Amino acid sequence: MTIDSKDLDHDAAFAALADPTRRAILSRLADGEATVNELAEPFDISQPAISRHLKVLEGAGLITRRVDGQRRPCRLAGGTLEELEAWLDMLRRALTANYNRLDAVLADEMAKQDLKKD
Amino acid sequence: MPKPLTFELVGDTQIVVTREFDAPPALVWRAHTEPELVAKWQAGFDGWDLKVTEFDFSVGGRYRLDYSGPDDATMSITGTFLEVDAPYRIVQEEIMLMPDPTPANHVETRFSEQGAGTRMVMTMTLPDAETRKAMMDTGMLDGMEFSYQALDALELA
Repeated sequence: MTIDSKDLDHDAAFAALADPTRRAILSRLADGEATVNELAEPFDISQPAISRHLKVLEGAGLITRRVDGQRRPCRLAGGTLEELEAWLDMLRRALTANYNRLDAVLADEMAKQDLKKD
Repeated sequence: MPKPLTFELVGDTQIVVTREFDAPPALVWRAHTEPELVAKWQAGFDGWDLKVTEFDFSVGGRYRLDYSGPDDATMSITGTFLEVDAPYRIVQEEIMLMPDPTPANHVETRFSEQGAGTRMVMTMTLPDAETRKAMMDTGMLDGMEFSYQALDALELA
């Protein structure tokens, strides 16, 4: 895996991902390009609110927008999201493996304590 | 089935991890603070070995965990315990050596009684964007790739 992150704003990307609505927008965009109207549809929030979320995502380099007549469709930017998510996913997996092993260590120690009591 | 782990991004610098255990806080505490127990579970990915080469569990005490993985890959974690409140709270600051050091990562781990078991909430605070960038640029992902795939295979099995 080659990682080239010199152009990416990780601070902004991290903040952008912390919001559930923005994560939902990104997940929708993973299926393909969409306009503000299309993005606002499944959410119970106003178009201006969606536009503000899009501005944050755009500022973080997570999405790009293009001009198409009156429309400004959004799409996922390549790279940033995958990289940050890959790193977080790696950390999550390492912790999951650790704590699953810890369950076994705790069960062992509990058994030893029970033996001492008997 | 192992208990679920929750892993959430909070604000722009924190990762909050929660997990429950079927053992009282006093025992979960021992597993986090006695080096011979720590060595049994903190190896990270399968296929990696862990040696606890230094572990002075006291305020201001230092620790060092040395990892070795597939294809002669190595990494280490060193840190200092900043606050200790048995058996409920540990605050530590740690650095990863990949082998270049990453900036310090501040970690607070809290344990509370949950029925007969324990609920853990671990809050990792990365001081700034540079830290995360450094962590991502260390090649950690490259080094972990092999065991990452091994883990995938394991999960599918």
